[in-house]
Amino acid sequence: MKWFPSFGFQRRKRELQEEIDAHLQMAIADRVAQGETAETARQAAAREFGNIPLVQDVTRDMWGQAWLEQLGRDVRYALRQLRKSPGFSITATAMLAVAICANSTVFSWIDGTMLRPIPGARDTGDLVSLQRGERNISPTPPFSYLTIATCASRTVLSLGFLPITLTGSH
Amino acid sequence: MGEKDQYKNRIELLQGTLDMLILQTLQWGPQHGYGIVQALRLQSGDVLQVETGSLYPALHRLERQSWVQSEWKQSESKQRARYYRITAKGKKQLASDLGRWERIVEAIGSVMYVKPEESES
Repeated sequence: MKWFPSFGFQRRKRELQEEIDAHLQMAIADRVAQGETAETARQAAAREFGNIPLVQDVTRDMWGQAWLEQLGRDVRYALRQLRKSPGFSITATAMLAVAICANSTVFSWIDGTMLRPIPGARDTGDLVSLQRGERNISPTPPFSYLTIATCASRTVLSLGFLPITLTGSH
Repeated sequence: MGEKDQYKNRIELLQGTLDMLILQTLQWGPQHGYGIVQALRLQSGDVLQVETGSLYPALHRLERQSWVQSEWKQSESKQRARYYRITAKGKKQLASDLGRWERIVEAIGSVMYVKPEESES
């Protein structure tokens, strides 16, 4: 089964094998011509050539697509493993799905309530909050825009009998 | 025993010179891997022995850089082999490699053969 189009990789591999075979054949032929027996010539040629799989390996590295072959092998291996144990695959997938859902839910909640509390507002870091009475995280009742506008126009920071606390950077 | 002594005289190739030697060998005509090894051995008087583990990666790298081209041909002894041929780009590379090599030889020479009166002054 071929999952990965390897860009003529198999053909090039075959050609390299053939190239090395030709090298060995010529070395053997030369040695036989110099009077060695076929068997000693074959052994000497193989010894002189060295480790054939290693030579093939380092030569293939020069093609610049060794990583692609390895990636293809890894992907095929992973898919085979998943198919071999469907129970494990389903459990792992379900756990991943639940975990990802939980994460995105929590994040969108934090994003909505803490990072961007007012929909559509930009530069929320520059906002100030005005409140009556003692400093409080959730002031009641909130100021209306009208009250704030009045405050700003009169540059008065006290209204009625209650002191006003200004918080924020502005 | 005689073969072993022969190997003793061979020296390891200086790094970076293999490309130049291969390109130089191919200047004399298209050649296959085995032929390149033999030619380098003969030309160097049995001193240079190119390992196949260096030769074939180098040939394939040179081909990728399009300094050589390869094609399958029959040798005189009816053996099908992959022949490498130097390209115009390869010849340019060879010229620049040779220039660099000459500069290195000159530089090392001037270090190794300093005249005594010069070093004393």
